Amino acid sequence: MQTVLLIDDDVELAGLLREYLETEGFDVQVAHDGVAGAELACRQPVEIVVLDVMMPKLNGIETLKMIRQHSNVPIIMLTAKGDNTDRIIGLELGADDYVPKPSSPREIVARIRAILRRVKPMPELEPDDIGSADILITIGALSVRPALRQATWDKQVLNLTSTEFNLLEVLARNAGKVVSKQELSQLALGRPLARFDRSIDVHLSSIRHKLGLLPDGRHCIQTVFRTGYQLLKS
Amino acid sequence: MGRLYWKFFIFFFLAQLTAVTAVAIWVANQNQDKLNVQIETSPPARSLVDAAAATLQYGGVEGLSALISRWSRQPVPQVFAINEDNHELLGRKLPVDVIGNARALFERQSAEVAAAAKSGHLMPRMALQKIKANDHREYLLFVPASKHVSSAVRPKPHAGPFGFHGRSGKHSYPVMPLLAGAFASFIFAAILAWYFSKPIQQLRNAFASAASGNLDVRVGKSMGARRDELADLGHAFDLMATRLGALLQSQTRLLHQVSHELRSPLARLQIAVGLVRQQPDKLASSLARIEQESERMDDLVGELLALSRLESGMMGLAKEAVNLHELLVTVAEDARFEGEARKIIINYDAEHQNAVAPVMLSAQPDLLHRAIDNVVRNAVKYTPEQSHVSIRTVCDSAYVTIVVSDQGAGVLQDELEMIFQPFFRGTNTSHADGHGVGLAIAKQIIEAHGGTITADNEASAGLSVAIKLPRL
Repeated sequence: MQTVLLIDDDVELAGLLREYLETEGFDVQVAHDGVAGAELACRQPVEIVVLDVMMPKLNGIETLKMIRQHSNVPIIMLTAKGDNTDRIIGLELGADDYVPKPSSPREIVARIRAILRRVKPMPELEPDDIGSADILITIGALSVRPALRQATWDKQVLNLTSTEFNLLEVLARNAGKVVSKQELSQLALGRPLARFDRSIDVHLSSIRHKLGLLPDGRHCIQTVFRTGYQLLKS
Repeated sequence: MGRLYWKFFIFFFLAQLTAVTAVAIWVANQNQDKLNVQIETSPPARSLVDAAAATLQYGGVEGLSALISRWSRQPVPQVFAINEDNHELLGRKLPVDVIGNARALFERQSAEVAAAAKSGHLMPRMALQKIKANDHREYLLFVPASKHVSSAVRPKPHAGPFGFHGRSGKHSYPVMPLLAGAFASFIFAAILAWYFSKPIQQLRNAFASAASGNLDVRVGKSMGARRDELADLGHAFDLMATRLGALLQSQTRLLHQVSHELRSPLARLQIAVGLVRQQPDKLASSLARIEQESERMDDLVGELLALSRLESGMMGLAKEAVNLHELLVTVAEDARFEGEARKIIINYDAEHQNAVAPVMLSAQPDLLHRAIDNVVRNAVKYTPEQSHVSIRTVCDSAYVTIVVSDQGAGVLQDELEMIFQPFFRGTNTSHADGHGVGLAIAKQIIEAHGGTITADNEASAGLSVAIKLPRL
C-alpha cells in the first residue's frame, strides 16, 4: 500500500479527500498545517505528498521548501486555478506537478498514480536480467542509472527530484535527439502537455542548474526553440 | 501652453498695458499743465535772467548774443531769449509747448507782480522778463528746465533714456517709458499666466492619468513650496487619489478573497461528487454534504451582498427606539442554543441592567441585532469547550458600551485591528469555520449607527470586543 501525505488546512476537504483516496487503495496521512506536514513528510515513509498552496501560518511554498531541504519525495501541489505564479514558484522549488484546487478527485488520483508509476523503481528483476535492465547511460560527464534512479555528473551523485530524474532519463535515452515537450510531458510527467503549461521548462531549468557545463562552456541540455529539448551528445 | 495660459496672458497684458498708457498720458498732461516744471524759477535762474535782461537792455541784441554764447559753454542754466515770432536769439530750438508755457507763465507772473505792487509788497525778482531790445523786437527771457535744452546746445544732457525727449514733436509723448512699461507688462503677464496655468496643467495631466487608471500619480510634490488655493487643490487631488487607490486595492483584495472563499466549498463539492461516483452506496451522506456546501456558498454570497450594501450605504436605516436589554436577551438566548453542544455558558447579567433604567438606543433593530449577534457568535465559535462567554454593558450619560468577551486564544496584538476586515483570519486560530465576514458586517452596522467597535485581548485569556453606541 502506498502512503499519500495530504497537507491541507481545510479539515473537511482533507477528510473527504482522505476517504476518496483510501477507497482508491492508498494509505492516507493528513496534516492540517505546513509545519506538521513537513515534519510528517520527513519522518514517515511517504511515497507522495499532496500539498495545498493556500494555507495560513506556513504556506504551501514555505512548506515545500522545508520538505525539499530534507527529502526528494514527489510533491503534487494544489494551486488555485489561474494562479500561475504559485505554480511556477512551486515547480522551481522542486514540486513535481500541480493540480488546480477545485478539481475532481479523479484528476488528483490520476496525477498521483502517474507520478508514482514513474517513480517506482523497476520491479524486482531476476538476477540474470539485471545485466540488461540495469543499464548505465553515459553521455560525457553525465551518467544515468534508471534502475537505481540515480544520476551522476563527474562521479558526483546529483540531487534530483523524481520528476527531474524522469526528464533527465528521457533526455538521456534520446541523447543527441530533440525530444518535443509533448513527448517529455507524456513520458516524464505521465500526462499530455496542457496549453500555457510551463512545467517542463521550469523543471528543465532546475536540472540545468544542477548539471555542470560542457568543456566548451555550454549547457549540456539545449532548448530547441518551439520544438523541445536536446541533451547534447559529446 | 493651453488656452488658459493665453487667456490669462492676454487679459493681464492688456490690463497692464492700459494702466501703463493711462499713467503715461496722465504724467504727460501733468507736465503740460504744470508751467513751472518746464521753466526754471529758482533764484539762480532769476539772477541769470536779470543779468541777461540788463545786457539786452543796455548792450543790445549783440551784447546778449555774446553773453549767451559764452554761457552755453559753461555748466550753468541756459537763458533763452524768444521774440514775438517764437524765434530764439541764437536760433536754438525749444519745444513749442515750452515756449507756450513760458508765455503763459509770464502772464501769470505779471499779474502776480501787479497784485504785489498794489498791496505794497516788495517786488520779487522775476524769473521771466520781457525786454524791448534795440532791434525793436520784444524778447522774452527765461531759463527752461534743463531737460528741454537740446543736447546740441547743452553738452551735458541731464535727461537719461527715460527722459522726455519730444524735441522735434509738437507733444512730448513719453515713448520710452511706454515701451518699457509695455515690455515689463509683457514679461509680468507671461509670468503670471504661467504661474496660474502651470499647476492647472499639472492637475489636468494628473486627472487624465487617474482617469486612465493610474492612481499612483501625485501632484503635491510638483507644486513645490507653493501655498495657495491651487496647491490646496493639488493636495486634495493627492488625498483623493490615495483614498481611491486604497479603496480600489481593498476591493480587488476582497474580490480575490471572495473567489478563494467560494473555491473552498466548491472543492469540497467536487470531492463529494467524486465520492458518490466512486462509491454509489454513499449517496445519502454525500448528498447531505453537497447540500451543506451549497448552503454555505449561499450564506457567503448573502453575507457578501449584505456587506456591500452596508458599505455603499444603500441600506436605509429606518431607526426606532430599541430597548438594548431586550435585544441582548434574545442574542444571548440564540447564543446559548448554539453553544449548548459544546457546553458553553453565556453570561448575561440581565437583572442588574434593568434595575437602573432600560437603556434605549435609536437603531434599526434587525441590523443592530445582527451586528451584536455576529460578535457573540464569533465569541462562541472561538471560545473553548465548557468555557464562558460574557456579555456586559457599561453605561455613561451619552454612550453605552457592550462588551463581549470569550476565553479563547485571543488575537495577536498587531492583528486586533484587522479582525474587522472581511476574510481576515487570525494566525493563532486553528479551525477556519464560517465565512469570515461576520465581524466586518458588525463593524459596518455599528458605524452606520454612529458607534465604534474595538477589540482587545483580555488580561487572563480570550478576546473582548467592545461596541460603543450613542444612547437615545
